Amino acid sequence: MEIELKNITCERSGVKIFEGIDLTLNSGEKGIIQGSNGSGKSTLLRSIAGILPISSGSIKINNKADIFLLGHNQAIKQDYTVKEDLIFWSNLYNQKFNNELSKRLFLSNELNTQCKYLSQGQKQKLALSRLICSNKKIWLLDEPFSFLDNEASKNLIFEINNNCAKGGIVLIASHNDLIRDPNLVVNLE
Amino acid sequence: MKMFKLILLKELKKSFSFRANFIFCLLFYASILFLISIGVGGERDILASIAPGLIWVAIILVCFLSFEDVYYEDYNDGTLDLYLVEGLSLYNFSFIKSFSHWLTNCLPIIILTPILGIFINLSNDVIMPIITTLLIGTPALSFIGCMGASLTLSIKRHGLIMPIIILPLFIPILIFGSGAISIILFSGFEELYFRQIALLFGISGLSIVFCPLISFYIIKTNYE
Repeated sequence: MEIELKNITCERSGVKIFEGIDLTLNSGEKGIIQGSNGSGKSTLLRSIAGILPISSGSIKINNKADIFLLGHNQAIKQDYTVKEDLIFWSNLYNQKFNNELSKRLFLSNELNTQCKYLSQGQKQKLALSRLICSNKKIWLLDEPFSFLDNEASKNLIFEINNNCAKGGIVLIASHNDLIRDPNLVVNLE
Repeated sequence: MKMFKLILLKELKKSFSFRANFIFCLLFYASILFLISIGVGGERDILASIAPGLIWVAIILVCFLSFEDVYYEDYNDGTLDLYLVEGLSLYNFSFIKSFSHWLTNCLPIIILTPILGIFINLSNDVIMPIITTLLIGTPALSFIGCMGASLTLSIKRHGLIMPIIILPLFIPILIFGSGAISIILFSGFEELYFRQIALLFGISGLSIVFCPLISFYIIKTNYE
């Protein structure tokens, strides 16, 4: 499993978001993308995920079907319960939602709560719970620690290390330094 | 295929939830027919003569109300991003949206029309041809309307922009749809009726194939 970016440049409406980005991540590695607001961290992650086109360069990912993207917007529907949301996305990811899995979830105590009653932190936890349900190996996480309490942050760090230990790849766009030992740091300044 | 079915079921569930738009659309349709029947003073001959155009105008007005946020929510809350990462094509996404719009907005209206037909003096022997006309012609309304909604993808309240864009495209459907019903009601020439139906069928067929494709390019441009 590998993510390889060579000389990536991205432009929107004539404005260069970033240019000349190179990075390579292999199985078991985790990378951090750093930069100030507006430097293009989210755009880079979305380009790697295949949502946004790049202006030049090449992106090579061995297994695109194994990508999970956690964006700024959590794609939460207000009239769903937490469990309904997780079941829908589990089915979409061809996974089975079960009680064993729910024990690892960030929101295992709020399964019957309607999403419109969730706080920002709980919505972020729901988005991270989908990550666990997806069983995907390549994680592209945009500010995953936003709104999380200390316990949830520790759980997320555990899951990230666990994924890497199993041969997955994690690429995080983040302002903070909760990830202590990244294999790669990309600065977009 | 599995993803297609899952997302379609999700759209249907959302549309048929209690607070959904579709109940308002049904009530609006019934209100138009009811109020106009009262407005013309209950004159049965007048109602019978305007029935064809009235049914189609009412359906078109109801459709205008329901196109407002076809794509807006999924585009802005990140759901479409996740679908794209999973490999759903924008063509399939547009098709699902248009098809679910027809199932949840036009199909209930078609089922309701025979019941509301008493307000506009529809006789029993013309109900089936009218339903046939609506079944064949309304998919074009949904698919063209959803294509128009993709143009105002990132605007929550597009006001008059979208009706202005799609209204000219609805006019041929209105002409052939109401024309087909008029032929059955007033002249009974079956051959002419079938010609109108064939034209409606052609418009719907082309809309079903090409409108999601046009929506695909519009949504893709929004991303770029």
